[in-house]
Amino acid sequence: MRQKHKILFEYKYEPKKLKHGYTDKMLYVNVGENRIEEKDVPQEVKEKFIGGKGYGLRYLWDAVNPDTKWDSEENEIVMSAGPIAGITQYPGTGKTLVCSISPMTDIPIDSNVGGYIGPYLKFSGWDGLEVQGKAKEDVVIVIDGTEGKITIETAPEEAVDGHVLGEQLTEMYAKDEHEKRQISVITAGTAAENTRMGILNFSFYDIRRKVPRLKQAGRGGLGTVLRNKKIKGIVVKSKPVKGDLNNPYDQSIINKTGIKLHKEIAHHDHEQNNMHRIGTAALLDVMPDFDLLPVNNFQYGTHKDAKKINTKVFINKYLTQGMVDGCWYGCSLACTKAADNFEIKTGPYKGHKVVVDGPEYENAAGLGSNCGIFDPEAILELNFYCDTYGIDTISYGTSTAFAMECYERGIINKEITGGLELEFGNIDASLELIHQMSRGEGFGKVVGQGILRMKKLFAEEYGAEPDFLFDIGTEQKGLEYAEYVCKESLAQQGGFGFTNKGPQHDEAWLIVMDMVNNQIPTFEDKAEALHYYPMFRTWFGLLGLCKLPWNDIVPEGNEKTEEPAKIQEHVQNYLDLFYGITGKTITKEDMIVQSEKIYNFQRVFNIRMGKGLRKHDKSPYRMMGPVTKEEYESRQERYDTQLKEKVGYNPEGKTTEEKIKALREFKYDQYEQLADAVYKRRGWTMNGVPTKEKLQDLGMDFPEVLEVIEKHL
Amino acid sequence: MLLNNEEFKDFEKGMTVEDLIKYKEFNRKLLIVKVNGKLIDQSQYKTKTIEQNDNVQIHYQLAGG
Repeated sequence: MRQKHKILFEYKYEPKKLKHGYTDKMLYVNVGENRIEEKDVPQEVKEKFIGGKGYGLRYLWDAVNPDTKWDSEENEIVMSAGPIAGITQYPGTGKTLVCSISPMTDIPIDSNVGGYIGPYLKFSGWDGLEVQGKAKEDVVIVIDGTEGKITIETAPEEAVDGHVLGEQLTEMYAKDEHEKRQISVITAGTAAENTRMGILNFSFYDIRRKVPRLKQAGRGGLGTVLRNKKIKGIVVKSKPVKGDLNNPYDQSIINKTGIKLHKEIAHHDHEQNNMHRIGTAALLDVMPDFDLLPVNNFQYGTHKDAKKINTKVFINKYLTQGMVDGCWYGCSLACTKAADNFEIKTGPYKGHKVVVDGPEYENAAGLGSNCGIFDPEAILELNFYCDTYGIDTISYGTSTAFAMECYERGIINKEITGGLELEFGNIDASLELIHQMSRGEGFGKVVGQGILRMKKLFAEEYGAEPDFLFDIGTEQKGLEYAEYVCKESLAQQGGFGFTNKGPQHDEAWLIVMDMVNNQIPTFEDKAEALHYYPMFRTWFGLLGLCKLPWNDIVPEGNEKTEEPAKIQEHVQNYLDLFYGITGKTITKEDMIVQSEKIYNFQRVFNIRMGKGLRKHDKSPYRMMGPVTKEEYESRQERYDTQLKEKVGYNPEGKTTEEKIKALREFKYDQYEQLADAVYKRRGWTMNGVPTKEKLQDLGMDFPEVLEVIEKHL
Repeated sequence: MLLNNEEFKDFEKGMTVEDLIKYKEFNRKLLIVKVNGKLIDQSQYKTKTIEQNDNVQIHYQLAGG
């Protein structure tokens, strides 16, 4: 297979050693022009943008213009980890952030991913990678940090699907079994070519299972951009990993901080969230109890069959225990569970026994309950195919759920779906959809365009009522909602709605704090939470950190601290790690300011690309309250009480339709008041635009940034 | 009596923290309980009684997504 490769361009270089977490070099690869360049990172960029998502957004801004689309030549995929990434002493330090103009939203997407690519790029001499242009034929990019060589090679015979190509390329570029650990591969998949919701898989070699495992940069269609550039894969081969390759300023503080957290995990994980045993799927046991598990396109929050996909089922029957399941060296939280020797029942890999990476909570909820599916094996099979075909499990699940509701309500029918009976719970139909996405045919191709485009199509071609589609089509800015029912949490509606990239929960997960604990009762309380948590969590994406070790494990005595939800001891850990790597002392307030710079820059970038104003932060009503009679009447006591106590509306003698209308008006008014409070707290105008003063305060008043906002002030 | 910033209408004289947890079906391991701003240790749930004018906070610690 490798013999059929033609080398289109080769670049030799001297891999620069890291100093205090940085090489200060970006790698630029243009597959259209077969051009490779080294770029020095300017000091101002390093200071203001830090790394990770900061670098991603800065370099993407410079590459594109306001008319750039996801499939324009000049669109880039930019990936960077950040200065802390690649240490091995502290859990969760292998994350990479990837940015591009998204096929789903037409604005920048930022997606975080585990696996070894980010650290391996650093150890190969690069703080980040920019990929631009479109190749004439399928290529792979090979970055060999052991030899100081980068090539763009044709790859005519390799597979496209993630798990096959990952193995092929790992095998191809490793001299022996031992060297496979030094290789990480980026792939997409066949369905990424035919839909807008393609993912990037980032591999890490599992030495016990003797197979590359896959982590995903899931949101926003990055895999679709990769395949549009005719790139099959990107290989990074690093020198062997050692604990001090970042050449930190103070290794001892990093060691000490790491040991402290390892002890905490060893003593308390099994009493707390059990990440080591089950991973993020632990939420499956909790969400139904609080009416938060998405069922049938977010209509409901629980189901009598939810126990069929609870953690006991996955642990007892499917997930292998006792393996080192960390997606970067040194992670003792090790949440990356897998089902081994799982026999695939459908499609091109029928009969194969495979490793299924997952399920994460989002996969089980999106592929499962939100589509009315409560079969663990169906979830695992859909999970496998999403990964190997290169499809976002969240966008797939939420889009399929939308299509299913449209089918059940007669908006679309069997003739339109090509014979697929898209009822909730129809596993065969969901699997056939995904295979159609891979083959690029049938109704699968339609669903693969995402909810925004399905709504347009169904209204224009099939006469569907646009207002109703807006209500039940759970997308915003073009991106599908993540898998949490937030009808009873105004703060989480804001946590989704005021997010830069679209409704992904990685900025703020406030549901329990808000709806269960009632800890943030006023608009100002919610606005403060919607300032702090998005800014705090943005910081992880600048430094190369995973969020889980922050709050999925808590130290003894955390409950005695003033704000237990912030896990102050772990905040101090991060300050210590930052100092240990860079030699710079920062405070917890400085962390927030570092993030605010990038956050506001991204908001302005959104405005530049056409979607960063108040009107774009509007929420579909399905995520705020009961759209239909069935939804209202299923929780009638709750909603009647809300009307009486919060709205001042007497529901006695009123029809369900009248009550829905009154509640809807109240909830939308609440959302608008929240928007006012959030924008004020963030230093934005009431139209959601960062003010000149705010940008000046942050030192982000670049001329090109001011030029964008001035039109809206 | 306030529970999580809202009036708790079903207060009964002599109610303990444990009684309140059971009544409201707080069924998770990781609870933080404060009465009038003072943290109540789990060992005291059965003995700590709640008064008419108390401000009680019972919070789940759940990291979420």
